[in-house]
Amino acid sequence: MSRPDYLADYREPPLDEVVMGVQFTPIQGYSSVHSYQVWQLFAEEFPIVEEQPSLPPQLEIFGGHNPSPGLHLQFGGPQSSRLWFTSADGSHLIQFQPDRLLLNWRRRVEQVPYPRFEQLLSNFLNKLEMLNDFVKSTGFDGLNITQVELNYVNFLPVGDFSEHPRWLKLFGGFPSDIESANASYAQIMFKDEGQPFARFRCQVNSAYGFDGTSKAYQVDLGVRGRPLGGGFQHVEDFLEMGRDKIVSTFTEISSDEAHVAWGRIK
Amino acid sequence: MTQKVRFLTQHSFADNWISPSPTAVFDRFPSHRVVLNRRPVADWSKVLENRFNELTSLRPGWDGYTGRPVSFACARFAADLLQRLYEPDLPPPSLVPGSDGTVQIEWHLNGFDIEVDVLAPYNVSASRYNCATEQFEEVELDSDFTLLSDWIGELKFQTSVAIAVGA
Repeated sequence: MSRPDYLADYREPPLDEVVMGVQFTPIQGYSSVHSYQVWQLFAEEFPIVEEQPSLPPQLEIFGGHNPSPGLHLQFGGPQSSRLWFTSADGSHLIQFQPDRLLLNWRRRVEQVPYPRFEQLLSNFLNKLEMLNDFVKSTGFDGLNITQVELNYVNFLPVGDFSEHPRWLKLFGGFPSDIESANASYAQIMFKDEGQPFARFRCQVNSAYGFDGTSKAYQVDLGVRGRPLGGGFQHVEDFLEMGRDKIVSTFTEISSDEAHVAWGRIK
Repeated sequence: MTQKVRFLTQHSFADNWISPSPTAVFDRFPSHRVVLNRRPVADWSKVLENRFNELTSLRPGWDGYTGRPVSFACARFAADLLQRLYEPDLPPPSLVPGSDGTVQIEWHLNGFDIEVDVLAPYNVSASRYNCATEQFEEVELDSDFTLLSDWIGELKFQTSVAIAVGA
């Protein structure tokens, strides 16, 4: 797989985290006793293990009303955990639960550059195949993928939040001394035949550093939806489509000055 | 004091539009100024959350045979669907468990029977029966529930007409 020629590229994008993953029908017969075997699939590359609360299913559906700020139904769920398998340098993370597999890259070590989408994608698909082979080896059907997602998290450091026009085209003019600023939008994505199959979301939030004074804008861009068919090739196709959408949109909503600062190559 | 900044998001559009009053539907019946009792979100939430908890906790063999509790995946998908179908002018639907871990959403109201079978995430079978005309429609749906939303909307209209004419 190679980067499309039409896609903008940057030498130093302000990227802080990339998350790619799938949700699938809960693995039949999985219980906590299998968690060690799952970890062993990835332990050589991801030797550190943590346990987190599981995430509820997040499936994109269409039609009807936007649920916010209306009805929100919360009720009890399965008692499994979400396992974090982390690389020794903390830059890569696998998240696993019986209905989900995610791969995160995080900018934790400045000397380690962003590995680029193609490398992350190859790594993720490899892990997905390994998990699928393990599930089948236990006598069950392979993974039934119901959802694919890709998210990019960017941080744009600013001296003051009123500087946003230097970096982003989303906002109009602000007075100075703003304490916070936030915006978000969602777009439905359609198949060629006109049916909805995914959502793109853009969220911009003002953020403070851990020191309490440094400021930045956090720009989250993500695509989530159904793959257009069974098989892991469709997972790959969806993630490549998602990358195209995210990079194109980020280029569109950011300023020319920002592109120079990030070393735009094409 | 924190200065709240407004942006062109769906929320600010919602703030900028004046919502029609509950009586706006009945302007065509000026002699029948009826205020429809809008059921607050809390009514639906309490009823449905309790019911989902109940259905996902059913004991195996609950039906006297091999009945399974409603799977969390089915229940969650049904709940997400209901969040998009929510109509404050309608009562919450009935939730009926299938013995195979599926769940059915039902409205029986004003001469219509709407039944939505959630067999699995993205595998939904919906039907509507008009008791007056004996017309029956059935569709298979996966991720786009626009048609189902239209059915619910028509059910709401039938409800409001029934109230307006004093039925």
